[in-house]
Order: sequence, then C-alpha cells, then structure tokens
Amino acid sequence: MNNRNNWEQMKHIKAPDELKERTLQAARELRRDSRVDVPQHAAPAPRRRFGMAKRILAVACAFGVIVGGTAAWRAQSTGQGAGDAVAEAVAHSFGIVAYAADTGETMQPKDSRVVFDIAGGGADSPTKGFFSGCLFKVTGDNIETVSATIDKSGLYRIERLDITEADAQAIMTGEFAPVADADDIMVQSEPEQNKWWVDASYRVENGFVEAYDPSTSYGLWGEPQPVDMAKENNDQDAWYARIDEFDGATLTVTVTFTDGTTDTQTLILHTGKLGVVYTDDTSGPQLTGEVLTDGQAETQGYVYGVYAEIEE
Amino acid sequence: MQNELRSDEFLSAAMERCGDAVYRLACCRLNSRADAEDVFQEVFLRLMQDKTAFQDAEHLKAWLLRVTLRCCADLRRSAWFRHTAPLEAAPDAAAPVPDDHSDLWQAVRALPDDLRTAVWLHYVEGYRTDEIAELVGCRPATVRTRLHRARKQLKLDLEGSDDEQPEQLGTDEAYQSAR
Repeated sequence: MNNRNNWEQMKHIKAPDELKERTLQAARELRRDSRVDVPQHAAPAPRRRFGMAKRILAVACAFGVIVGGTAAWRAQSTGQGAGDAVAEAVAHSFGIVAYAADTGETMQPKDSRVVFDIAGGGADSPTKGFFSGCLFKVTGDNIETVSATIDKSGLYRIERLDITEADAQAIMTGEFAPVADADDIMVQSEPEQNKWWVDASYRVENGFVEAYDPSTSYGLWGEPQPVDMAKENNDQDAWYARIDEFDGATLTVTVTFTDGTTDTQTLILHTGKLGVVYTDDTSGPQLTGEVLTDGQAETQGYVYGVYAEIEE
Repeated sequence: MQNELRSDEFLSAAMERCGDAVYRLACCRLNSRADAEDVFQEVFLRLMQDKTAFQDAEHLKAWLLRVTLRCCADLRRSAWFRHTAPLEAAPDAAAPVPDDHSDLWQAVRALPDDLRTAVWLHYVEGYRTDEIAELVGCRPATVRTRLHRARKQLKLDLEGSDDEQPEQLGTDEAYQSAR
C-alpha cells in the first residue's frame, strides 16, 4: 500500500482549541467541586481487562474425580461385584474440569492439586465486578442439574456463542440481542480461520441451581471495587490483589443426577506461584501443574494464580 | 483531595503534546465528532485524577491512548450510544472527522473496528505492532494479521485491487512479517 503521504496528512487532524479550553474549564469545575466536598463528576472508571500482553496467570488445569476410590467403597458396603460397582460409580459421579477459554483445553490434576487458567485474561469492572477468567466445567453422565457455592467472593457463568464477523460488529455497538444481558463479554477471533466467537459472562447467585449443560463453564468472581487510578498502569499489582481474594475459599459443587441422587465435591482454593514453561516465542506461559515453593520460584518460571486442593 | 489532582499546567501541557493523538484516535474509533469530543474530555479528566508517575512523554501518551480506547469502548456499549441519533439525522453534531483526506478516510472508516484501530495506531501514530498489542490488549501476531487484512481491504477500496505490494517496513516490522 503506497499511501505514505496520505497517512502523514491524517496527522493534520487536530483537536479544536475550543475543545481543549472546554476540557480545562471542566477540569477547573471538578477541582472546585472537590474542594467543597460536592460529589465528583461521576466518570465511569474504565473496565480493566487483563490482556494477553500483561498475562499473569497461565494455562488451565483440570481436577477430576477419583472414581476408583468411590467404586471400592461401594463394593464393600453393598456386596456388589467390583465391575458393577465401577459402573454404578461412573453413573453417579462427576468431574470438575478446569478450563482454558482460549484453547478449549483442560488438564488433569496433579497430586490432588489443580491450577486455574485465565487464558484470555480477566476483566475487572467497577460496576459489574471481577470476572477472573479462572474457569471450570462440570463433566459426567446423566447429570440433570448443577449447583455451586463458594464461601468467599462469588461465581459467574460463561456461555460461548459462535458468531460471524458482522455479529462482532453488532456486539461492539450493543446491538446483538443474544448477549445484551451479559455482565461481561469478550469477542475473540481466529482471523486466519475466519472464526469468531463471544464469551458472555453472567453473575450467578451463590448456591445457584441450573440445568446441566456440558458446554457451560463457571468462574471465580469478585465484588465490584472502585478503580484506583494510581494502579491504572500496574495490572500486575491489581491482578495480585484481586486473585488473593480467593485464597482460603471453599468451593462446593453439587450435581443431581437424572435418577434423583446427588453427589458433591469440595475444593479449597489457594493462591501461589504456579510453575510454567515457555514453549516458543509466540505462545504464552504454559502451566506445568506444579505449585512452586519460593525457593523453586527463584530459578523456575512461574505465574501467580489460583490453585485448588481436592478434599478427599 | 484537591492536592491530589493534577494542575491546569500539567493538563495543558499534556493536551498540547498528546491531545491531537487522543482526538484522532477517538474520531477513528467512533466516527463522530461529538462522541470523540466527549471522549477527549473524559480522558483528560481521568488524567487529572490519576496518580501515575509518568516516566516520560511516551509513557504519558501510551497511557492516554489506552484510556481513549477504553472510553470509546465504554461509550459504544452505553445506552446513550445505542440511542444516539444516526449520523444522517444530525449532520453537524455527529459529523465525521474533517474530510480533507476523504478517500483514505472513508476507506479507513469502512474497516472493522479492530482493523481500523490497528491501522490508525500504526500508520498515523507510528506505533510498532508490539506496542499496538500492548495498547489494545491482544497478541502482536494478532496485530500483524489485522494490519495485513486492513492493507488488503484498503488497497481494494482505494485502487480496486487487492494485490498487496510489499510495504516499505522498518527493520522490526519486516522481521515480524517474515516470521
């Protein structure tokens, strides 16, 4: 494209002097209002999104249910054969799989520990709250409903919709009805494959009960907080502060199966240094599934994030 | 509280140095002079209340442009934006940016938002792809893809052909394109 002169001419677009003067006047009024303790100009603070360029947390890890142990217990208590007990255990057990939104990947737990991914980055709105990007899915057969509670902060649900490029434009202008009620949206694309999709996030009440959908993922949510403009350029500190809110939380997930029986899993959340490796220059950090000690973190790559201990 | 607010002198200097870039980017994103002016004012009022210790002028400019992009996105999602009269109904208030460079400007306006932003920040403001990635919150590879697609579309719109000639890129960009 050979329009260098034209691009240069675009730089001649100037902000009108009147606009600059009007802005200074507005600033003086705001400063005056602050002196007399009048409620300040209610400028909506920017919704901070932790983008890939400042990505702190790394790839997802899954935490799966221990099916074998359940089967053995049931064989002892009912006198069933082991094979029948396994089949029954599978039919009445479920998995909680942590989920990487940008790749659709999951990872198995390691040493009863799982680590969460934020993949596409979290989003922090001063009005809607903190959508951490730490996601999990419920897996299993014959599941009718899903319920979850957390004793610190909250939870949200993500629904993914495949869209067209035109839909993406409509979303940015607020004219795409399917996600009009979403608390947060992230439009993503793979231009090379002409693929577009939107992840729509919805805050859910603690203890919610919903019809099971294997494609739905849930995430860790934090209360809305005013944006500290001093931290506007320091996403890392802001991330650390929000993530630490989940430290020590107890996440309880209960499913109801189609036969009316239920099953529950409990996970204790922690924050810490999650080991990562970098596979190439273009990919982000990849979680190893390890939680590093401070000593290990001095010599190994890590990101600060959330992991869970599965309660036996 | 007043002592924590930046002075008129600081704001004036910031507007002189970076105001035009803020205004241009807002025009690029919003295609409406009135909306761009609202965003311009919002950005500098936020600067007044901000406590960042800027390292240098480029640091300040990058901060301002990031906030500009966020304000534009917020405005576009707001109920006010959805119910604003269309451009045809309010030619003055919603007039597009000056039409001195109408052919190129019209072609740029026709680009999807993400392509338009990448093109603007690269060709008008002179940012590298890694810097643009930092500003808009995406991967540098994504920025390069957007620039490639934008160039093809602009060439098609302006010259009626999408045969993209090799661009005279700087060392950094040429290396990136070759990866």
